[in-house]
Amino acid sequence: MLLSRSVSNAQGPPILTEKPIMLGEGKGTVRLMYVYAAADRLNARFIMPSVDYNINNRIALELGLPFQQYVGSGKGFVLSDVMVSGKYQYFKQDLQGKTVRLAAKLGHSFYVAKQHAHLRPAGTMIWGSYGGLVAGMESLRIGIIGDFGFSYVRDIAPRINETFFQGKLSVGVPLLKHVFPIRQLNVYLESEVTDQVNARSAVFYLAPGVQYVFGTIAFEAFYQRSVAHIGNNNYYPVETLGGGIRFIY
Amino acid sequence: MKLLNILIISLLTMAAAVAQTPVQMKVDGMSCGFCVNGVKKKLSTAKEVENIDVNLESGLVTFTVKKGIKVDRKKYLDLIEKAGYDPREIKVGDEIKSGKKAYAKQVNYVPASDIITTTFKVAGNCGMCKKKIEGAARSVKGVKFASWDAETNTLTVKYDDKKAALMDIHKKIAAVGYDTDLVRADDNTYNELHSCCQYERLDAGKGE
Repeated sequence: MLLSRSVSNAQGPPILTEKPIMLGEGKGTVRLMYVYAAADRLNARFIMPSVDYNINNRIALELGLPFQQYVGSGKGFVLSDVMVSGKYQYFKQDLQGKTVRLAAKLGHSFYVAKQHAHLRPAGTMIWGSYGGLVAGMESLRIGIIGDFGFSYVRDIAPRINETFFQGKLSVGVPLLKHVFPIRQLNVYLESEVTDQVNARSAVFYLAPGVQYVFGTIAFEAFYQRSVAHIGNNNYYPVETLGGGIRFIY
Repeated sequence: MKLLNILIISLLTMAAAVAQTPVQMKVDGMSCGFCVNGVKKKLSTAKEVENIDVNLESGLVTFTVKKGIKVDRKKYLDLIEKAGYDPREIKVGDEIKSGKKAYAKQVNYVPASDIITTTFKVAGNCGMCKKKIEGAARSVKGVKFASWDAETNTLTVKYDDKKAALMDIHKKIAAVGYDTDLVRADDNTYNELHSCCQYERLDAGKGE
């Protein structure tokens, strides 16, 4: 599940963590990420295009289309889980050079990939729903964003459904003086915990990342590694390396 | 010759810049250097807006409006809100240098340049007249201030030129029985005034 889920849901800075709605009506971002994920038993590459759109300055929709390739399979990239989500920003307090925002998020992933003969199918093989909250405080000096919620996945094993808690926390710091047009270098330290609610299985990740913003375009790269785990995590990524580009339209 | 051409071009550029109307907005919530690009894109949808600059440190968004086009404050405030941020203040032209506050969400906020102050003659006698004259003037929507001086028979009034017409103020005062230098009160209404209020009529009052 996490090979395809944990990376693609981010929107706007920070790199891996979701963000409350920061753009206005009619605006959005297009993003393309390349990710290499290594788990204990198999490695995979992903090409992850995604697009989000603000219906107004309170409601945003997002579509993610991860294409997955298992390393060594001899197969090409196939579309794995299609992810759709929506956010509603219900709280906003703006001050000079600072903002606090809260948003509720709902999402769903649709398993669309074909099975490979001797490998786990691309994607998660399951349909999953996600509900959570995104909270963020950003100032000119630091950004702290939290994204917490629950995923409910169906048929994770034959006739077995499961609930996961997923929490992310990101701290980002701009390094350069603020200028306009924007030229900024941001560094991030992001963390993530995934906990299978009804089983002794949890993974904790840390992910340093860097992002260069040039006008309406951002180039970014990250390295994520699991630093602690409980129970069986054969299919959780141990480490993930990725980079990409996004722009505001 | 080359130097002369450079000088001419510079003067023309400066002239064009002077002809544009500068606008300065104070906007809260701008903290994300990437996301604030949405502010510029949103403002750019107004074709008359040029030279947009955003300063995150001060929270100021500045731009110019093309020559000959009226500055629509509400439009730009709406654009900033639609961009997802809170506009706190908007100043146009000389207001930027004046240092005065110009809160975007101030109740009954009216840009200073639209307030007109004028004085005119209104006949009357006493304190009761003062109360009626001032009350009649203030009852006109857009009038911010009205003060009648019994000694000089002069009314000073401040009103929003976009909301009130001067003649409406004259008519309203005349309607309660007091002659102004432009509008004469109806005789019947004058006769109904209290005896102490029956002032000497203004022969110069012009009825409509």
